[in-house]
Amino acid sequence: MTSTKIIRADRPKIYYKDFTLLHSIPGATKRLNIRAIVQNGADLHITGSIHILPQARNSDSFLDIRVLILDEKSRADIRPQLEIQTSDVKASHAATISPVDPEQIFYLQARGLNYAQAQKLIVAGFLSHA
Amino acid sequence: MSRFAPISSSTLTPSPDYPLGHSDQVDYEFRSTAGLTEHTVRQISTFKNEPPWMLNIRLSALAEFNHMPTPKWGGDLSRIDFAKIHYYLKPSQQSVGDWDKVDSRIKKTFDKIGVPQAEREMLAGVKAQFDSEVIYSSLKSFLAKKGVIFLGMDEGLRQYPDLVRQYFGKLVPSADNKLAALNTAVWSGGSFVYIPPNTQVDLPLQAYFRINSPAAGQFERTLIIAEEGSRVHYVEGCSAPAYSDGSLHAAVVEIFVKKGATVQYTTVQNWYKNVYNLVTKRARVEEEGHMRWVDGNLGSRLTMKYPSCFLTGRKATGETLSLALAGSHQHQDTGAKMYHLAPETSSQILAKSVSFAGGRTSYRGMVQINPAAAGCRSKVVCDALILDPRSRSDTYPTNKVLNSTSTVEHEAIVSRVGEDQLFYLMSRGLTEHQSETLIVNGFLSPIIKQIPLEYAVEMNRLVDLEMEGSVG
Amino acid sequence: MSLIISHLTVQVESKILLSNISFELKKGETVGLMGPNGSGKSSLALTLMGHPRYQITSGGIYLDRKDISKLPPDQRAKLGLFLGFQNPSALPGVNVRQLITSTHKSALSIKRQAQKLAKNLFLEQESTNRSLNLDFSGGEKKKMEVLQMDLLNPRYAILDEIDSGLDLDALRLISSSIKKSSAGILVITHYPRLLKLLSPNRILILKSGTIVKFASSDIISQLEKSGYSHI
Repeated sequence: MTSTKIIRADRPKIYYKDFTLLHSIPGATKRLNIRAIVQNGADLHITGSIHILPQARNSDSFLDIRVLILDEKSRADIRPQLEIQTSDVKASHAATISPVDPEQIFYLQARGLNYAQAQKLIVAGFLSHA
Repeated sequence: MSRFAPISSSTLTPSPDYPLGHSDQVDYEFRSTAGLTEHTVRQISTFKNEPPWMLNIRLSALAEFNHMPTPKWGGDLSRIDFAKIHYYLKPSQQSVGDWDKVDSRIKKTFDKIGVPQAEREMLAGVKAQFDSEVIYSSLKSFLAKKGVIFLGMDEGLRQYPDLVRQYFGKLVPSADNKLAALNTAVWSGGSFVYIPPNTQVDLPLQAYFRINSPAAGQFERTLIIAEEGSRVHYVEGCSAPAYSDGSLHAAVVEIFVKKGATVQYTTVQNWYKNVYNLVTKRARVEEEGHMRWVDGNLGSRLTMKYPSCFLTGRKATGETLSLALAGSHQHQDTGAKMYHLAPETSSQILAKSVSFAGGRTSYRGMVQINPAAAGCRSKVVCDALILDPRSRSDTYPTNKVLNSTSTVEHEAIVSRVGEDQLFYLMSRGLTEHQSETLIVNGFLSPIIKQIPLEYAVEMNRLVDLEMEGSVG
Repeated sequence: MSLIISHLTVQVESKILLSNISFELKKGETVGLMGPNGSGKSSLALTLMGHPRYQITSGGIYLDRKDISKLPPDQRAKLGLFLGFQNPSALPGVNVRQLITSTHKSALSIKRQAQKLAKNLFLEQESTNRSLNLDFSGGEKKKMEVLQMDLLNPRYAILDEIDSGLDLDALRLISSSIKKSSAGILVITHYPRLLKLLSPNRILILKSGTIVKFASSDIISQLEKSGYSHI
């Protein structure tokens, strides 16, 4: 079971988003991809948890959180958590918070896009590529 | 290397056998009554002949301690009864125990890791001191030539009060957390290290060599000052299982890494399984300074320790390599914190843990990049091995980025030893236990590589032994 | 002195993978085992080495007259059995020397030997220091299996698709290692190339879990021309 969540935090307020992948029965495979952009003074708080209970043997769980911070006033507080109570599992998570890659911007500018257009294209690609 | 059961008599006269012969030093055998009172704190300060400003620091810390609640996060601290603890203990100069009565598990470990007999007795609390006078004197003259100060903290305060006053409590104030307040009120022992500008100390400084304060550090306070362009590697702890009479250890380590200086602080901790090991370790790193914490946690009933770096100068770097092993009835709640307060700073955290036989490891970490800290990078990797279904592993990281020019990457993987990996090694003739141990040591090897060789070899053998027992 | 497989039937969960397999591998001889994909060749290799997932429901395995069918893999290895894996496990933080040294006393002589063998196999010197099979190419992994066989000097070796991922030069190097060995070697493959270099005494053909033919090396050219369907 794979799902993707898109978050657009684009207003100057605090956003709280909580996600949990709970494994309470054996043998389940769960994948959650979260893609977020933060701009216009937004303050994004994400807590993403994978929780595997003792009886949930043979679980396979992956959580991937990627956040792009687009301007100076915006910020992110990201907490990926794991609570694993049995050994027969594969569980991992990854979280990346970064600005837009200036190399990518330059590449697009070299193709004739201005900064705003370049950023828009990159962001669209970021949000759709899960 | 001097962790052992401090059992003392209750006389208040100086012992005639005190071997150090430092003529300006007066030490008494003393054991305070149980419980933490103003009276106890005053007694401690008086016995150490401290300047009034240190007494004041202790007293206001005591007030903070009484004010603050016991933390409810992290491990379970509910069983600690602060009223029952003796807060000041001085080791006796005579033999205080019987080798035959020492726990056979401890003896077996000494055997396994090859600790010489004389050291075994010291470590097991049988003999109060061992004679390292010869080693210590030559080390002292070697360091004195370079202008390096390396003393016990008590001695450091006595000989260099102004220097200590300048730095003591500036990184970890007593109000920081309850255990820091406790330590500030009753601290005793620990190390005072000062490295002058542009001085490199190539030999790792070990707490082992602090002959003049061999007391078991329940509430050790360590202060390390590395001036501009200097370099030092400090090693603390001992991988032999260290018995302790006192069941609460609340230490504080403050490290000041000045411009362009490099400091590594390595700890190998293997406290016996009755000990609560709650430590605050913090470094401030100035421009282009480098700080590296290598933190090996094998023992104790509960360890809560998160070596931290405050990166206050441009291009400063901080690194924490954390290793945790939790067996039966153990909880290692460990990790690291990195605060980026200046631009172009970078940090790295590598945490590896193994839980087995019902043990629990928890990674707790913080990476924060402040608004003014432009262009910073941080990478966190935490990997956990859980060896059996009774055991547990958690990860609780926080990643806060407060500007738009920095990158933080974090990844965590929890896994077990694969059946295929075990089969592969067994097909080469290793028993199942040997295979599992080899895999666990391989898993931990990126961190063990950063520990001085003698300790690293002991660590590998210890991992082997810890896993063999798998009993509480 | 031989490895005798006698009327072996093997299942995984409730599925039968091998039926009534019987053959003998003498010390010093080279026997080829061929068959189409899914015929059970790897299952046989893993069963002989004692992989816990494979259950022997009847028959036995005898190494130099000793029944090893109930022994764990490490004890079979100590008796002189070696398996070159089709998919060798990656072992982070463990290099090949540490692995071999766990069961052998002299670390220094292992180190020297390993370096020499690596050189002969045209493996980079560094490979004996790196985490075994982690980010190794297919060919490097197979060479590492052969290197371990040379270090461990077994009585009987089963090589499961040791030739996959190897170019012609590597194939020649491995084939000369195999020829030099005094062990009884079972070479499992579905490509004729390696077997042509080795000229085995016999070839066994496995199809759907049973041995359908015992042949001499002549069968190799027939297989090259018309595959397994005519057998």
